[in-house]
Amino acid sequence: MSRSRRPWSGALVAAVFALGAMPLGTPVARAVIGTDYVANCPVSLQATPSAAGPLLVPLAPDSLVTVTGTVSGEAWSASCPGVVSGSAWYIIGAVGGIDLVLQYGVEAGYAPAGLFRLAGTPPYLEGVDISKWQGSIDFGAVRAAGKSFVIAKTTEGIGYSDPNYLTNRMGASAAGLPMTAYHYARPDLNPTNPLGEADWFVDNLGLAPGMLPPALDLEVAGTNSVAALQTWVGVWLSRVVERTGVRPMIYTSPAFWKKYMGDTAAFADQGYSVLWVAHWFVPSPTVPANNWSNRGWTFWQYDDCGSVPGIGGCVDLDRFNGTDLTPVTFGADFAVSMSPATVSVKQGDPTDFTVAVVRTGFTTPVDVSLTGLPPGAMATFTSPRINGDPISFTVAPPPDGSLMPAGTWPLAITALSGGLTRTTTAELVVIDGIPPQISAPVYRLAYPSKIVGATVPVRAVWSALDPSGIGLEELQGQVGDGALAPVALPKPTSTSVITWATVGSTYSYAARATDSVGNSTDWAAGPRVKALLTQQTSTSIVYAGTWTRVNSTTASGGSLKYATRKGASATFTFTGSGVAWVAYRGPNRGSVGIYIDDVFVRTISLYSKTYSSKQIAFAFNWTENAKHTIKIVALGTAGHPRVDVDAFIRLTLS
Amino acid sequence: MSVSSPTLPSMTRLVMPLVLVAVLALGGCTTQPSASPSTAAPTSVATEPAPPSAVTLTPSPGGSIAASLCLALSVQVTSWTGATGHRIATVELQNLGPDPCTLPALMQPQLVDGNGAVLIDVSPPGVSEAMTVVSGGVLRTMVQDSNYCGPAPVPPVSIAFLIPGLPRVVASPLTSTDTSGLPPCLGLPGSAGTVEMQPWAP
Repeated sequence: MSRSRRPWSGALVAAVFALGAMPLGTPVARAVIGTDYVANCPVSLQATPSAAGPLLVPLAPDSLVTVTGTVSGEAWSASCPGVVSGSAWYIIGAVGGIDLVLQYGVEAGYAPAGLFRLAGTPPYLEGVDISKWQGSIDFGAVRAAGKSFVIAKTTEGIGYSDPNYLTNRMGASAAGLPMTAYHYARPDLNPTNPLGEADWFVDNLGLAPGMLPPALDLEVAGTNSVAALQTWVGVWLSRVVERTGVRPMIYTSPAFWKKYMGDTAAFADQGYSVLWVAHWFVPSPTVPANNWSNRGWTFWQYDDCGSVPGIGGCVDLDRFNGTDLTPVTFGADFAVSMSPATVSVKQGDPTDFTVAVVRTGFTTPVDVSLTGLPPGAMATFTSPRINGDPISFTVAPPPDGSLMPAGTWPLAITALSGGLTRTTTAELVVIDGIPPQISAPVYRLAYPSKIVGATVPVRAVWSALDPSGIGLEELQGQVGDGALAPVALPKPTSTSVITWATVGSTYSYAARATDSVGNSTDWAAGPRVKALLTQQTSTSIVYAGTWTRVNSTTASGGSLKYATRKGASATFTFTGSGVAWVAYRGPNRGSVGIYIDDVFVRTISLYSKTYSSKQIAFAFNWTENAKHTIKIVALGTAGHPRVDVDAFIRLTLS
Repeated sequence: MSVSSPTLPSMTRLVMPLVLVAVLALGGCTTQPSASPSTAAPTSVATEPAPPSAVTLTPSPGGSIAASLCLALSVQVTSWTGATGHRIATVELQNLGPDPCTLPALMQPQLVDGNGAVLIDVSPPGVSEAMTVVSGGVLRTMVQDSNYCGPAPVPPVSIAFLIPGLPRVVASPLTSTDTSGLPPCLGLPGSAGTVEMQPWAP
């Protein structure tokens, strides 16, 4: 289809500028007085106000020109970006701030007035407004064509609803196009019932978060006076606000608002700040009500016959005055979430959180910040700004190698965008990450006990400490250079165990502890240890007083010595880390005094109701090898004074 | 009513100078321009229309209608609605003749005033399908106009259709004083208006 008032369309035809026609002479620099405009699309700067005239220079989109005036010339039409036409031509004195005299030797160039916008004018978002006239619409194609919003007719007067509204609404939403609806006001039909029209509109609107402001399409006055129509509009708007909580935008033309609404700025001043102005085929719209009380236009219907993929035939073209619809989106909001909600991490380990934004009609990036970290801990974000996909951050221990303090730390994400602040929290539980403190096993000759066969009792003893408590103790041992083998412990948390060491063999043990949260120590190995038996016949034992030797098959080594007189003593000198005295217990046995390195230690009684041989009656242990003495002194116990020396056991470490 | 639906241009949208308007009853081949359109009486000449039985579409290259042009028609605007600077008329057409007749699916619409003066015009459509309408058959279309920047018209405002080879048909207006189809002037003063129609359909 075509329009007769648009005799040609598309890019202006270029012509080669005849250099020979350029005025000769030396150009003189001068300041060009005018208004700066920016080209909306590729534009041909002509030497005359005619597309057929010589071409001065093609101007790229966004080229800056200085307009010194307007003349009427040849009719023009172009798509720039919507279909625009007219016969007004700008007189351009400078391009890019440079006088055309200097550039091309001409005083002025000419270009269709509708192809420029005022310099400094913010970029637009393009959209369409639709009704049943457009029929079935492929909104995916509309969006793909660069349209950013849709405004659909929903109702008119009272009782009429656009048959395509629901389909249009669902289609636009499915295509991800922000949309809203307008009500075609009929104050001519319902001059006393604006409430009825408002209710009818809201009943059919289906306002939902993410939609743009609903609109009052005001272009019919009927016989209402200015005051009456102002009242009508005010009641209608208030009713919609009352029922939806949203201040609608107003669709009007500059002429209508001036003639039938008295050019009032009251509505703009009362918070109806969003003006959808209808002014076609002009470079920029005339904005009524003192530039809508200095707020300017928000939406501008600038053409009634755009060709948009996905829509058959003509469709109204609109612009949004800006690039972000968020400020005019109903219920535009976002929520921020952090996951996991709770995480436990050991003091020395890092852990990750994910931060996501769920948007409702909210398109601007969201900046996030984090508080609540444990002292010294570090957080590293993949990005501090969320545009689409979630971001993540890692909480790590202090970079100086120290650990995060244990405890529960409430982390808080604060998300800021579009004047909104949203927060979310998660719980970081820093748990003990330090293994227990463990000491390597030491060995102690155990008493009271006895020699069993060729083995003697050696208690392996170690210790482990942890603030979280010890959950498990383990011990492993080896004989000589044999394989390590676990040693069964009486309880899982035992820290000592009697091992029966074959006299003369070398043993070694290593202990390991695990705390209640799973931190394990390394194996802590004790020294190698050997138990040796020194019989009472050894010359390393010095006897004083009367000691009598007795052969006995039950004695260690087949014999023993005993004394009955008070003061009789046996002193064993040795090098080692432990010593034990082996004797006989029985009803006729008495007590001795024990001296270690000539220092009295204690009294030991060998008395027992029954006889038993190879009894380890006393033991003393050190942590390392050294030369020591143990002295057994008979105390001459009345009635059963006998005391025996069967053997001594000593431990040596290596 | 059974309908076959070959592909049609979705609508036409053209602009033309003013021409005369007539409300026409074509029965008997006599042209009756409306001398008193303000009476706004229904222009159908038939009595109660018979239920429509069939409408078929026949390609007609060049826009010409080969035979059996509809001569007895009732055409009326059944509603006007508005849409951001536009006015949309729903128009019904009925074949009042005793025999099936043919019409182009797309015609040249005009916005006309009560004196028959053309307020907004378009160029004739190009190639159009031909539709066969059974006796009593009813077709409907929507006509949209916008940007009337001329002087105040004489009521009522209605839609006229130019059909090649036939006198102009003016649809009965909603009422004798109705001007709800008059669109506002949203362009520059003196800029041309637009009027466009969608193809007739059962």
